[in-house]
Amino acid sequence: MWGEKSDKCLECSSCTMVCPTCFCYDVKDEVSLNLKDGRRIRTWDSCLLRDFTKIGSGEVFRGDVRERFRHRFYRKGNYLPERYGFVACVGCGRCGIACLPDIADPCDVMNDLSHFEKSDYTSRFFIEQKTETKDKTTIHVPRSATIKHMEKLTETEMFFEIELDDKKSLCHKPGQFVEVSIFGIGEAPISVSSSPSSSPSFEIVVRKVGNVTTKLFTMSTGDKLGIRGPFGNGFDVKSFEKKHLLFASGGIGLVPMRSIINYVLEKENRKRFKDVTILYGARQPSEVLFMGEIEEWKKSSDVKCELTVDQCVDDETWSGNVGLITTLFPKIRLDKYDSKNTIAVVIGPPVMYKFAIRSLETLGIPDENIFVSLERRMKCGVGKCGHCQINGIYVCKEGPVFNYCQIKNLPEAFE
Amino acid sequence: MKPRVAFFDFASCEGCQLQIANLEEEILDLISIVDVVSFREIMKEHSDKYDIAIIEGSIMRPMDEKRICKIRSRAKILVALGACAVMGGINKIRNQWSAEEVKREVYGDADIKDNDFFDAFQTKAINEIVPVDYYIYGCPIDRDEFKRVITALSLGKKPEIPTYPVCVECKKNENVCLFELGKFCLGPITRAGCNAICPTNGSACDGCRGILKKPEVESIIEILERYDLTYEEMKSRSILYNYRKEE
Repeated sequence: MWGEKSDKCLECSSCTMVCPTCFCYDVKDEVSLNLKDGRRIRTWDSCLLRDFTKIGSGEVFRGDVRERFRHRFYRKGNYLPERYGFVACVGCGRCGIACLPDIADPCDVMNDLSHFEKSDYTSRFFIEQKTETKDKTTIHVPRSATIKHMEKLTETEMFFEIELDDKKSLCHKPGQFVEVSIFGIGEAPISVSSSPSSSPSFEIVVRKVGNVTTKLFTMSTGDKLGIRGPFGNGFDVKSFEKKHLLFASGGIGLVPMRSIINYVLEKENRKRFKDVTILYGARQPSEVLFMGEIEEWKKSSDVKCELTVDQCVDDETWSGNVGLITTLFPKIRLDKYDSKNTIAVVIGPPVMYKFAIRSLETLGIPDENIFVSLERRMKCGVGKCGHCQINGIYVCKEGPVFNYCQIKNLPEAFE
Repeated sequence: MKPRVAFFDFASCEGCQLQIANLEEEILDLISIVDVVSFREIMKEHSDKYDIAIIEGSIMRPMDEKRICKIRSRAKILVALGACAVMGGINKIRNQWSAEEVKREVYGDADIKDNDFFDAFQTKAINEIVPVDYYIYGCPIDRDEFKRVITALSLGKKPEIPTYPVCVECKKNENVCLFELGKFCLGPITRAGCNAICPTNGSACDGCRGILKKPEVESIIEILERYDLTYEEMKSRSILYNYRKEE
């Protein structure tokens, strides 16, 4: 049914533009021609537009017009009602009038939907935001911060140590992210890479893909940034206690993973957790991040660390494993202890999740013990602008860290 | 050091450059962030040393082709300015006929054989000859968009050019849909960025910023019928800026 209607869709977003209950927005930096002054403005945005879910690297998470068309009706008739308890359509009919191909009228769509059998899978869920932002008054206003130290890790990745100018600690949890803003350029969500105890400064790693990250590469120590956050649900570290831990990360996924790994490996925390296994796959040897720290982990007697690269070109020196990250899983012998008692954390590029999780299932790790961190276009960070939604879930607020069990049946999550 | 910018024109009305000249006092801001080294419409100085070349107009003659290649080889960044440069625009209307037919129609029996100035081939947009880095759409261009592109290039970010249709901006302007007024409008399929200037002033969108997505013919006919409009009219209207051979 969605396809039948969306095939006619002109993707003009008139339906959402005239809707009195649509509130998704975008934030843009406008700079005046003298490059001296400018303003950061809020503009309307629409989930019907293709670039709504586009992130810096160019990836679009809701690329098919059919999915976007469906999203609009689910949001009005399902996601928002589940969240707030009322249907998010006031019945004004403006969308139906504004729509030229005559496909946007909610009455038509809802009536058509009622002819279909109800599937079991209508149950959306709420994931509570456990990590609350302490100071609610400043969630929209960036705090001034200074680059303390920067270091090139690879050709495309740069490491930054940042300190807030009020000298306060960021107070983040492992797995949370911040919105890094450069005035005149924009804002980008970046995972915090350091352990919470490394305060007052914190660390991030950026890959040079979009406007903000490209600009970050040209900055130098002492330059000012804006920081909002930390945002989102981090890892519930308490629930990991007295468990074996398995960390599997691919590519730049090691960056957020490092915040939890370093936290767990700290002397005062280490004894609260059992065995620690770290698996890490990079595309090629030159793209391996934090090689120094990986060597440390490898040397450490109470950590098992395995490293692999997808491919190794002849001229590179690499003596380690070659193959996808899934080739590392058979190397761990979980049979010697209880796999039911193991917590697995998977962070990597979208394509990695399906295969890594399948490997974990073969190891006998139950779904509720698997945690993932997902990437979406997190613009506002506080569940308002709508860009990061996976169905009814706000990744910026209820994620980016999810229990696999909670979202494994969620359409769009792992597609 | 400020980037050196040069403006060049090919087959066009030079109206897009006029839009830049019409920045008036803001020209002072413009030259505070870039060095304009060549701009025939407003200055007599010229230099062949430039970083950014901004090109207006389409390529219609073999000698134009040589010239644009030379400009490309000198410029680090090449920007196509306005509909003629970006997609051929109005100049492409003549591609309905062969170069020979066009020459005969315009020059009749005059002897233009060995004169390069009167030579002609099928109209081409700039990117059909040399790679173009950035596009500034419209006929004429929108001054605010030009400013956004220039500031973005100076700050080292990618200029944000809308990929959504004019309807978005038209609705933000709180206009009544022109279809409801019985007028024909290409807004639903045309790239935005003009702040819907034509529909806002009661005139239908002619698609000068290019067609984004061509919907299925049947569904267009279905829409047009509902408003008592014909497909033939839509086709003839879209030729103004968006003529393509296969039509």
